[in-house]
Amino acid sequence: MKLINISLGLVLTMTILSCNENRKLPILGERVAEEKVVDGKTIVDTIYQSIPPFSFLNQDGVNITNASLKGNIYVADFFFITCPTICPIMKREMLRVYEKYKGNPNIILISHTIDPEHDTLALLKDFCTRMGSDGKQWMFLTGEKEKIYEIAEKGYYSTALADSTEPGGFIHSGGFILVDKQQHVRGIYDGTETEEVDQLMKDMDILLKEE
Amino acid sequence: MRSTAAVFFIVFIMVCSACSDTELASMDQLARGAQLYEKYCANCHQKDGSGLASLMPPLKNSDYLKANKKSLPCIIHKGISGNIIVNNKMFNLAMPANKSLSNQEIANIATYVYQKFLDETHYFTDSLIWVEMKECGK
Repeated sequence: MKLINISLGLVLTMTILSCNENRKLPILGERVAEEKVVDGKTIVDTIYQSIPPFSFLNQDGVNITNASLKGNIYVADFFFITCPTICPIMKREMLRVYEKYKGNPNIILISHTIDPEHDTLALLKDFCTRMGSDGKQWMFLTGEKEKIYEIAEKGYYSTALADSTEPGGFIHSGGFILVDKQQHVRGIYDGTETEEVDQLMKDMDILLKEE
Repeated sequence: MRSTAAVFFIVFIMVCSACSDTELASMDQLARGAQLYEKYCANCHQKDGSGLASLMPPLKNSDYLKANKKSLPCIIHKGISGNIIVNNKMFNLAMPANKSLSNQEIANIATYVYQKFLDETHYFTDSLIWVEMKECGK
């Protein structure tokens, strides 16, 4: 009886393990069914929401658009240099992600400033160097304030706003947003929680195996 | 059974009397300092005092704090900006002021920082902190 229990336990564990390995991450956001004609037949295709078009500058003044990131898995977040609250914790966590995937050509990290008036290219460049980033795999982006707030909300389901009542003058969510090679959002993780960032890295490994 | 209880009681009395009032006060100060540290300081300097890359200076084994024992309360109160060298690394990100903290709260944090991260018993007592904060302009 005990033996049966043990073997059942083993089978269950193996099933769970194999499920984890083959786990597919969901695609977040809205989806629409689109009809199209292929070889004379009408088929229904599901179109998933993807990151809307954007154009920002990185800390070296290089223009970064959707095209620059296409084909890469990337993680996005929002911060500002003088942030006294959650940003330093998020940056410590992002640094862990950076260090794990350092040199992996398929992974890019982008941190958007939500205070572009203060966080000039020179300051972002200094920040980038001080974080120990090479500036290519982990980039610090800036652009028009409204465009940054807009992509936070519409592209990454995050909040980024100026709010004079908040410490530091801005309010933003501490999410790390995981985006796949086709620029679909596949997960949002709390960048202030070590366990959640561990999960993000596990999910990044799953995405890396995805075609 | 009764004798065991009596022994426990005697040991308890001995433990209690081993701590003087000042020591108990210091323990209280450290406990309060730990809570305040987590709320006001740990975001940047991290819970373990290790700082963050070249952005936020470490407090743990900081040569700057060792050499400037008197300045910590004032830094907590007023913040600090400009270049600062800690353990041979230059930092330049401004630290914001904490004007809402009382002298006592600042004393608790400073005491905790020295005890926890520098392994030094350096109590910022009431009278000491008043003098230092006055010099600091508070």
